[in-house]
Amino acid sequence: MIYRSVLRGFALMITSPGVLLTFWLASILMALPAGFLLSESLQADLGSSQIQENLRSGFDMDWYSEFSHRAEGLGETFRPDRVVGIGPLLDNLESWSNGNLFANHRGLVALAAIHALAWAVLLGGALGSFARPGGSSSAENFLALCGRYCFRLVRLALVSAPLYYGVYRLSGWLLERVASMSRDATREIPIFVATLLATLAIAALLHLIRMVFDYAKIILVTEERRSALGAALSGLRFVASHPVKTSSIYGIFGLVSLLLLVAFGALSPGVGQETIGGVLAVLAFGQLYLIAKIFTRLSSLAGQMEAYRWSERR
Amino acid sequence: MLLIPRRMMVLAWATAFWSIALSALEPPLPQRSPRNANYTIDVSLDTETRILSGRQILSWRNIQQQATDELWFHLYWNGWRNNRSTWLLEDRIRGRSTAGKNLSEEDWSYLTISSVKVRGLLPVVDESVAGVADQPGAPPLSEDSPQQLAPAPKPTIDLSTELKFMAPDDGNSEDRTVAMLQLPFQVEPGQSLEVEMEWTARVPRTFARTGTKGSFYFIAHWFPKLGVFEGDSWNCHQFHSATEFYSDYGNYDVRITVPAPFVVGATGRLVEKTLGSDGSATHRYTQNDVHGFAWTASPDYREHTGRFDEPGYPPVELRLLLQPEHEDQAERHFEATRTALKYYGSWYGPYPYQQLTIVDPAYGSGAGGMEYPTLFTSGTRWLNPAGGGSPEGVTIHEAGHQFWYGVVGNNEFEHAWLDEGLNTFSTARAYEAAYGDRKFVQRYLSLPGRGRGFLPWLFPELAQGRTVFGNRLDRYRRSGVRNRQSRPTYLYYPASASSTSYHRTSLWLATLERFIGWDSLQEILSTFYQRWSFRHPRPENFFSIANEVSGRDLDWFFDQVHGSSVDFDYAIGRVSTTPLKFEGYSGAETDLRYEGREEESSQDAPEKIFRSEVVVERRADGVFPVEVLMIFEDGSEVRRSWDGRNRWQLLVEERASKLTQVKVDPERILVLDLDVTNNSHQVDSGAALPSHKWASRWMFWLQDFLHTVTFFL
Repeated sequence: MIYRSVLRGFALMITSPGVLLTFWLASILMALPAGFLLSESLQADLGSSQIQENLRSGFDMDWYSEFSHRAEGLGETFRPDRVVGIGPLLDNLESWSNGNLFANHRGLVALAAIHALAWAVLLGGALGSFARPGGSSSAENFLALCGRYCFRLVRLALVSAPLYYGVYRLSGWLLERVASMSRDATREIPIFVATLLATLAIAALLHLIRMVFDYAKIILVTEERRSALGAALSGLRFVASHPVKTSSIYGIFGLVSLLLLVAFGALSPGVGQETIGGVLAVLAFGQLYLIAKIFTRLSSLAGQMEAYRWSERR
Repeated sequence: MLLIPRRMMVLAWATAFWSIALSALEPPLPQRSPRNANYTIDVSLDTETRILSGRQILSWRNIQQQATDELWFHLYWNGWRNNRSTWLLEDRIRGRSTAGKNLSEEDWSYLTISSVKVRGLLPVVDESVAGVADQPGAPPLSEDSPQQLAPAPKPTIDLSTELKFMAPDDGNSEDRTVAMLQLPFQVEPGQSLEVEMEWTARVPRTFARTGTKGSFYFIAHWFPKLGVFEGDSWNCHQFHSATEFYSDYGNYDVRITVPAPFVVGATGRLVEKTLGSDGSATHRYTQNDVHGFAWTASPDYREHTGRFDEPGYPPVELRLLLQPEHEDQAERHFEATRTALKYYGSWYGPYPYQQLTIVDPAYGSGAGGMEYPTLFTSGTRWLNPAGGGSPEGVTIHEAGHQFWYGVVGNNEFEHAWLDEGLNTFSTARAYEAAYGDRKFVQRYLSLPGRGRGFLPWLFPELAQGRTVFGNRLDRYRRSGVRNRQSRPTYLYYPASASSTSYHRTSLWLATLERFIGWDSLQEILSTFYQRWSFRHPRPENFFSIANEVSGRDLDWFFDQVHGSSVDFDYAIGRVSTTPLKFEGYSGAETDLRYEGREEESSQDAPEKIFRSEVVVERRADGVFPVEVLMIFEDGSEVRRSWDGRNRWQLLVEERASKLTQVKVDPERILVLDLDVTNNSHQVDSGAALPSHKWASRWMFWLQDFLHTVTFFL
């Protein structure tokens, strides 16, 4: 059943390239204007300077130390560790784990909110499509499903928000406790282990909440529920009554995401692209990773939907 | 855990069942100091109450030409007595208020003197030593020169009530970091006296790299320490947040009593270890010709020994006290220390002492990265990838302070740049020579208030070279308020003081290196080192040596980098390179010919001439002579020199080739230039590709960020 659900999840996504493409387009369309703005900002900073040669063949930390001193707006979020290798992924993982996603990038809150809204809208379409026999749907139907479920999903997100907020508050409290308990500790390893365990516990809680709300989304769509709170409670009941199955499916998709991250780290290109072809290749590599990430996320929802329906049928 | 009464201590020594004498006397140094401030100290540490109980005998000789009837003492630990001390008030300006530290009663410190006795005046015992501090190049003295105080009648005078707190720098009545002892007699030039003191001090939770955390103790600047009598007055500043220390050289003989399981490290060499019957151990350390004494104790240290035994250098015994979790980094610490001893030794002069102790402080103790005579603290993390600059950078820097601070003992209250700046420059140079560029490391998974994260990730593609990062141009640029370096350091704006002392100096030394050449700068520094070993140089001593050795008058440079706070920025302003089409009349006065645009297309038109105009600008107040390099399409190059004085300079070239590139200061001689991006101009700008390249990579980060946010949906 677990593997069947996982495989069904992947299969559904493989047969829904349009859905995948839509999500990816949403991502890149949101990011492109910001990317162009940053490019303009970099170009303005470089002007006609020959430093551009260094940036063409690699990254120039000397220039960056000047640029960061002058940077404003989006430019302030441009950091070498966010543009080289696995750095961008580690940076976001770090911000996610410590709840600093918005603290770190206040200027990007509006963009993130719009993207999140778009994601919620599209998610309605995706889940609606998965719920339909055969799992696919025409563009027209997809858009109709987007409209049908988006407000319910937004309501559900609002229901989940206090829980996530509570977990991050708990995280802050927990890490403060670790810090204060280790005030007189003279060794790093025990404090590191305590910090790591606290962070893993918080991450586990976050994932548990998301898993519950994944099923809530599925219930909201498959059972045409209107009450977000009711769907959330149903999701909780389902997870509580099928702990092994739900966590196994979630875990397998989580493992795939982790493997993707490792693969990205291992394969991520260097910094020496000097031609537009090279630049585009790196861009394509990154987009491929993002597509794979979106694919895995949507597959997990499809897989969980399959598991839920199978359980309900029984 | 242990409070050891003095009687017990004496008994313990007397009935010691285990005693080792490692060395009766310190081996002679190639040179020696005036040795006019010598200390014999007995100190015991009660680890339960964090109290140090001390008794010390100071033997001081007046080596100046003036008499004095005062003695001024530093009581550094009173800087953390309360939050009204000058040190803590200044620390607030640096953004480090005590308010958020949750300090409890035992975390504050104090130093109280309960008894002061002066044992009368003694005759001059060593005429040859008197005044040595004022005589550059004084011949080395042999170890057996009579520097010990001759036996003499010692009428003891109790002056316990004569100590007065002074605040010579800011008049802060709450500051008790300086005390003056009024003597009932004059100490004439060449005369000596002994001062016996009994005192008690509470070890603070670490401030300024001094104090305790858990069972780790780092004890520095801990005893009543005499200021420096200079000319006809005492140089004894209050303790300031952004400055360090200043003392005369002398011989130290210190007995440290701690619980027996504690491993002790200290300035100098262990000459005796005695176990007491009460579970204590007394460690006796001695060191001649130093201007301070620090020690550390912890039951956790793992001791490693090594040796610096490079051909052509005097051998040095290395002792490394490591935290258990850093044992796999022992060789990295040794290697970095050897790097400093080797390069500084070859550039400036050999390390004169026979031992050096490296202390790896406890995690989060805040004691790392500090220099003391023949001992320093480094600082590392459990996970520290090779190539990232740590712990090698800090180890080289602090080991390097044995030369700049230890051997050349400038006044750090007034001219901190003389050791910090010279050492920062030297560290960058030595690091580069031994390890190349360091690589950028980002650390993840951090704990609130505990600094950088536990998990490091090294980015091999992100190299941080010596010019900018070694000399700390990046930090200097951000330091905000500028200070005129020639002001006394303790009067610098506290938040940017280190930038002025460390970074500005390192940058102007790097500039000087490129301007006059390394050979010349190295000769300046080695001459300075050799002439001022075991003495107290002032800035003018450095500058006069620089002029003398280089054979140039560099005052124009020092006046700017030291005597003012100017910044430097040369830039390429407007650039044009266009065909120069002749239009108008030409020919003899009687045979004027008009040439118009239409002639351009004629078959016999002369070769096209391009007029290239470049405006080079001086955008900051600092003046420095620069070269301007113009490169033309046919590969030809033209170099022009500009004295850099005016605000701008127009350079014009007419030739049959277009100008393609122009650079001011193409070899980057002026490392002090704050904006290097504007130093060059490429006529056909290709900034679009690199901008798109890095913006697209940033866009990927942004997309992943947006996707991360959708986790919650």
